[in-house]
Order: sequence, then structure tokens, then C-alpha cells
Amino acid sequence: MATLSSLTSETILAEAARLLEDGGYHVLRDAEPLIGVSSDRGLVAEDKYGIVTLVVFGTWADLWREWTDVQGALVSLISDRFTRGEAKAWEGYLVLLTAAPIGPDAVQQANSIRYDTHRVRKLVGTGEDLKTLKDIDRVLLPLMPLGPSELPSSDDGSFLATLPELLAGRGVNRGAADALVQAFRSRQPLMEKLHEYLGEE
Amino acid sequence: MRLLSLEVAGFRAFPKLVNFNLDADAVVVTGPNGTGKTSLFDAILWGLTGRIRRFGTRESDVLSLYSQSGQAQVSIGLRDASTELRISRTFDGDRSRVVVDTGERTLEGPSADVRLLELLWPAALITSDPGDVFDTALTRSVYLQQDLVRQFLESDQEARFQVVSELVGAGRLNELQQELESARNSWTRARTELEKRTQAAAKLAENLKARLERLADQDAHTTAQLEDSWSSWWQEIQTLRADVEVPQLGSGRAAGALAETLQLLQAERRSVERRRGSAESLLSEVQQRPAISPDERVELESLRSRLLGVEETIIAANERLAQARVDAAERRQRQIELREAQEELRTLASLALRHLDERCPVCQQEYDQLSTRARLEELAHAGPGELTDDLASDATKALTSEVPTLERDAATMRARINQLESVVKRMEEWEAQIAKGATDLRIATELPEIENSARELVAQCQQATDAIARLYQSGEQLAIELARASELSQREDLSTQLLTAEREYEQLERRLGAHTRTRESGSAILEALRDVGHDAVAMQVKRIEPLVERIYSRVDPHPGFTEVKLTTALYRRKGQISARVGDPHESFTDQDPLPVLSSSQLNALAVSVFLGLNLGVPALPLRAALLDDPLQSLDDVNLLGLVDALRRTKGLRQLIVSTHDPRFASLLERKLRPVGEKERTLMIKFEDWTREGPTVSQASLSPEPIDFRVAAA
Repeated sequence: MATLSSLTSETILAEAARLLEDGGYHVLRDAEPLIGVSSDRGLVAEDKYGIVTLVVFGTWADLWREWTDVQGALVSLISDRFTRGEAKAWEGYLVLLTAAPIGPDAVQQANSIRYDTHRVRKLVGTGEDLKTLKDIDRVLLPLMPLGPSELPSSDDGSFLATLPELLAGRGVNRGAADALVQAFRSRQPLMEKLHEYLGEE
Repeated sequence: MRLLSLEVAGFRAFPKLVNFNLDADAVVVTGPNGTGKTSLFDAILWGLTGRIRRFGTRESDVLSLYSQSGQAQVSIGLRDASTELRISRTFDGDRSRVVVDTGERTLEGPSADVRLLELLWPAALITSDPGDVFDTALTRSVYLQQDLVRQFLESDQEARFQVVSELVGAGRLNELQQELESARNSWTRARTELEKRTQAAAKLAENLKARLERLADQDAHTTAQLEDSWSSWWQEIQTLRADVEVPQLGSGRAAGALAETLQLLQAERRSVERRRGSAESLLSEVQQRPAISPDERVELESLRSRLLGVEETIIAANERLAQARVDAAERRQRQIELREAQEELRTLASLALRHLDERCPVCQQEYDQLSTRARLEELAHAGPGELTDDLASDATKALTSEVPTLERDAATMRARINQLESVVKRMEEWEAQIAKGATDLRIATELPEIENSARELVAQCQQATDAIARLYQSGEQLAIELARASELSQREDLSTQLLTAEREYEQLERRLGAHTRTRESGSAILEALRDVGHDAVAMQVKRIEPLVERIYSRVDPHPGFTEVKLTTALYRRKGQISARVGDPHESFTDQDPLPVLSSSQLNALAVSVFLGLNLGVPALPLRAALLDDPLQSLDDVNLLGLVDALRRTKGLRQLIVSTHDPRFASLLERKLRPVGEKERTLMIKFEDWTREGPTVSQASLSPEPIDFRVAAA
């Protein structure tokens, strides 16, 4: 279902640049010399594995019409910099974005671009996908390392570490819960340790 | 821990020893199907756990049919920042053996398994089946098996919950619940015992109180106050029985000794009474003396003398009579003999008369016939001699009538003599009896003194009986006083016992209260644990879900269903996890993935969930992800997405990925290549397989320098 996005091409580009930089990429905002796309529409980014060209289009029609040119520019850029024997020469990513809504026909076109793995991998984001800044992150995810913010903090600890808090949430005395879990961990008699904690003996 | 090396021999597709270097951030295993790739992964699993669950219980399946040694051997090297470890496991078709070498110690058997779990998955150690739990942790978070890629998605919601419970450690909750329930039940039993003890203590206190009340508070002397009467009584006893030992009044045997002595007194009384009775009997006997007069004594002597004469006369008469009878018998004998001779002659004469001739028929001599014949006829006609009937003489006849008369006289005399002698005998017996009675009573044995002595003895016995009776009575009184004194002491003891019992009861009651509170607290925790398991898993799933979704988004398998949701729920107090996909831009937000995703897309989702669990759970047995040919028949774009996702995982986990697809292999080689000196990627190529085993080549990819050639421009 097509809806109007609140995102503009500028905000999309700016957010994408920020995300890529946060993801460890060197971002070239002035990409025109490299790919022939003005800096207000596109950028080039590079990390140790590959090269990314990201272009924001005003309409789906623009995107559909121009994406092959942009791909060609990216391929040329890579070819200029890397030989065929270098692995990085095959690590090109083309990110094609538009905040404009698209019709059913365009969805099919978008999928055809996505499924075309010739030369470079394509990531496509349309008005269907891009409604908030967070959606830009989702589209760029395949390019992003698994960052600390994504991984659950290891200091959350094991289940047994969290158990006293969970029990306390169920109305159990926190200290009693701690004593019980500690006894369980150290293979000590549970009820005796609970009894001890309760100060009964 | 990460994998360093693998040595395998006699195991599945490896009949002979093959060494693998696994010391890399990424290991790409390639080769056609059936050349041994899965065996490599299984060797790691079996080496670590000693089981491959998808084979069921058939451990023999791990043994290569072409094994030259008849043994399956796997040795795995592991390392983390501080520890290097080698696990060696063998199976000879019958028994398996494990050895763990930590560098400092080499352990075998169960202790090796325990050490292994301590280092890799300690949570399993507090479970009832540590090996099974360890296997689940490995196969659900570390090793994604080729045939079981979609196992998590295709299992039911409760099974999914169980798996995640195990991985996040909430599976320990079951053990904790079971242990706590068992401990609570034991505690309840102990409390019941304590309750019984408390009730028993209360009852004891009540009994003691009742006993104390029963011991009436009557006037009683203390033991000390009885001392004088005690001593004097025993002195009296000693006058009676000098051999009696006087017990101490306060001693434990005082009452017993008193009772024994009272029994002695009774016995003494009975003895004296018997003696008095004997004396009285003797007196009575003395007074019943049998008597014989002097005339009767003279008569007795005269009769004895006369009887003697008559008996001699009878004997002499009888002798004469006997001789006369002998003589008569001889005479009669002679008469009989004579008569027999006459008869014989008469017979002979008759015979001769019939045979007489001129000559003697015997000697043929001539004879005087007439005279002979006459003589013969005389003889033949002579009659038999007469027998004399009256052969007895007159003297004999006189004797025959005299003897009976004499015998009658003698009988008369004997009867009288017997009568008189009987009186004499009774008198002698009486005298002996009296003498014996006197002897028994130890008094004078002379007849005239016996009676007086017996009378004196009766009087003495009466006095003794009276004395014993008085002593017995005072002894009984003393026994009562002693019993009262004892009860007084008993009251004091009981009071002390009651105080102790009441204190013990109070203590037990306090303990019982404390035990009851602890039991109630344990029950409350147990109740909370039943719900908190779900809370814990839900919390962990909530943490992992965004990661799964972001990995799934990286793989990007579906243009519409880009969202993944893992939701937890409680159904009949059992946890469930459902895996859902959604299209954020349409209203399809909560879809079962099985009907809406293709097989390839489902595989991509399954791998995403696996990687999400691998990266998201708080702890892993190994900091590695082993994926055995995870994506078959995957679209190119999904393949790219997956490999990109794996590349982003490489820095976080040691990756070991296999594929039979050369395109995927090339892609993996390129995407997982080492960039920078710190990265390391190994390629293991299975080229062929024969009965000798696989042909394997191994190579380390040269690290590519970090180069920002485009950005540098």
C-alpha cells in the first residue's frame, strides 16, 4: 500500500551517510567525480571488504530509469581501482533509494533489481520501505557489521543471575531468592540455606 | 573457547587418520556430497559430547566400516585466552573412552567428562543428564546440522520454548524446581517429625505435671529425718539376725533391703510358728503315751515260756507219729510182696499140673509124681494171703488225737502273745517318736523332761512371734515413711524434669514455627518459580528477537516479509515460543512462516534464527558457529545476503561453514577472506572419497591488506 513518506532525499542521504560512517565505512559525500551523481543525491563509501554507492532518487521512475547508469558508474569506479584478481573488485554494493511511493508494477521492477546479482549486489528501498529514519537503517543492514548495540549485552548474565530479580518481581523476598540461587549454584541444601537466610536458626 | 585442530581416524568417512587445522576465524569446507564434510562436523560434535543424537542410540554408527584399527578416534584441540585443551575420544565398537588434557592435568573417564563440562558448559553439571543438555546446547546454538536446518522452525512451540530455555539457562529452572520441590518435601517430612517431637514434648510435660499432681503433697519426713528410726529398727533386726547387713538410709538399695528384710521377718515368723507347732504336737504326743501293765508283762513272759514247751511237745509227737507211719508202711509193703509171691507159685503150679508127665517136662528126669502133683495142687489151690488193715499202733492213734489239741493251745497262746507284744511295740515307737521330736526341737530327750521342755519352747516361740510381729509392723511403717521420703525426692526430681520438658517444648515450638515459616517461604518461591521460568525465557527472547530480525533483514530473503517476531506465551502453565514473520507495510504482521515462505526462504529464516541464538544467548559452549551446508537451492540474492551476514559474524564467532555448491564455495572463499594481518581463513577441500578415505587439501588464504583505495581518492 503506497503511502507518503515524511523523509526527504536530503535526510535519507544524510542519515545513510551517518549510518555508514558508524558502521566503519569511509564515506565520500562528494561522489560526483567518482560516479557522476551530485553530492545531494549520492555518495560513495568503502570499508575493508567492499565499495558502496548509494543514490537517492526523487521518484521511482527516476530510479528505474537511471539505476543501470549508476551501476555502470560503480563498476567503472571499481574497475579503475582494482584488478579482476582482487577480491574487492567483486565486492560492490549499489544502494538505490527513493522516498516516493511506488505502484504494484514498480514493486515488481524493484524486485527485479533486487534479484539481479549481476556484477554488484543491489539494495533497494522505496517509499514502501522508507517511512522513518529507522527504515534507512533496515535497508542498509546487509552492509553493516553486527554492532554492539545489536548484540545483547553479555553482562546481562546467565539465567541464574537474573533469577533473583525475576523472583522478586513475583513477590519473593530478594534476599531469600539470592540465597536460594546461591545454594543451587553451589550444590548446597536449598531449604537449609533458605532457613539460614531467614534467620530462623 | 575456539577450535584449533581436529584429528580423526576410523570415524564415519575417515577410515584413516586425517589432521585438520582449524585455527582460523573462518574455515570454509567445500567438496561434493558424500566426500566427508558432514563427517568432519560430526567428528567435532562426537568428540565433544560422545554422541550424535540424530543416530539415536546406535553409537556403533560412528565407527567407519573401513576403519583399519577397528577404532573410531577423534582428538580436538581447543583454546581460549587462558586455557588450551585437548579432548580425545575413542570407540572400539563396544566401549568408548574419553581423555581430557588441560596441559596441567590429564583426566580420563567420568572425571574427564566432568572437567569438559566445567570448561565448556558448566550449566549442564547441575542437570540430571548433563551429556544430553550439553548436546542440546551445541546442536541448537553452535552446530547447525545439515539435515536439521529447519528443526527449530518446524518443531512445536513447546519444544522451541524448551530449546531456548536450555540455551538461556532457564532449563536449570526445571532442576531448581525439582530440587526445591524435593527439598521442600523432605523439609515438610522433617517438620512433621519436629511436630511429632513437639507434640511428644508437650505430652511429656503434661504427663510430668499430672504425675507431680498425683504425688500428694502430704507430710513426709525427709530421708535425714528418718535416720534414727532407721538405725534403731536395724539394730533390732540385728539382734534377731546378726548376719543382716545394715544398708545406708540414703542409698539406692535402702528400700529394697528393707523389703527383703521384711520378707526375712515373715519367713522367720513362719519358722518360729512352725517350731511352736512342732512343740505343741510333741506335747500332745507326750500326753497320749500308750500303756502296758506289769501283770501283762508277766503273762507275756509266762505265755512265751509255755508256748515254747507246747511247741516242743508238738514237735516230738509229730516226730513219733511220723516214725509210726513209716513202720506201718514197711509192714504193708512186706505183706504185698508175700501175696505176690504166693500168686506166682499158684500160677506156676497150675501150669505144671497141666504139663506133668512121667518125666519132668523140663529135664526129662523121673520124679515122684504123686508127691509132686499133690504139692502142686496144694500150691495151685492155695488162696492169696490176707492184707492186715489195722497196721497202726495204739500209741500212734493216741498221738494222732493229741497233736491237734496241742496245736490249738499253742494258737491261743500265740494270739495273746501277739496282743501283748503289739502294745509293747506301740510304746517303743511312741518313745522313739517323742525322742525324735525332742531332738528335732533341740530340747531334752529324756522322757520326764520332754514335756516341760516342750512347754517352755511353746512359750518362747510365742514370745518370738510377738516380737517379730512388732518388728514387722514397725518395719512396714518405716517402709511407708521411706516411700514418702522417696516420693518427696521424686517430686523434686519431677519438678526439675517438668521444668526441662517445658523448656524443651518451648524450644521445639519455636523451631517448629521457624520450620513452618521456611516451608511456607519455600512453597512461595516454588510457586513463583513456576511462573518465572516463562518470564526468564520471555526476557531472553525479547533480547534476542531484534538480533534475529536484523540478521534476517541482512539475509533479506523476502521482499515483503522482512520482519521476524519471536513471541512467548504461557499455555496451561507451559511456555511456548512462536516464530512469526510479518510485512511491516501491509497488515500481514503475524504470519506462520511455513505456509508463506518458500523452502529456500525458510532455510534462510532458520539460519537467521540459529545465528541469532548463537550470537544472542548469554553463553555458548564454544564461541563458534558450525554450519554444515546450510543453504541449498537458495536464490542468488539470498545466497549473497546469507554470506554477507556470515561475514559480519566472522569477527564475533569462529565460523566453520561447508557447502557442496562450487558457486557458494567461491562466494564463501571471497566473502570470508582474511583482510588485515589479524584475520585468518582456512580452506578445506574434500576432492574425492575412496575406501581409503577422503582426499583432502587444506590451505590458508593469504590475508589481504586493508586498503581504502576508493576512499583514498
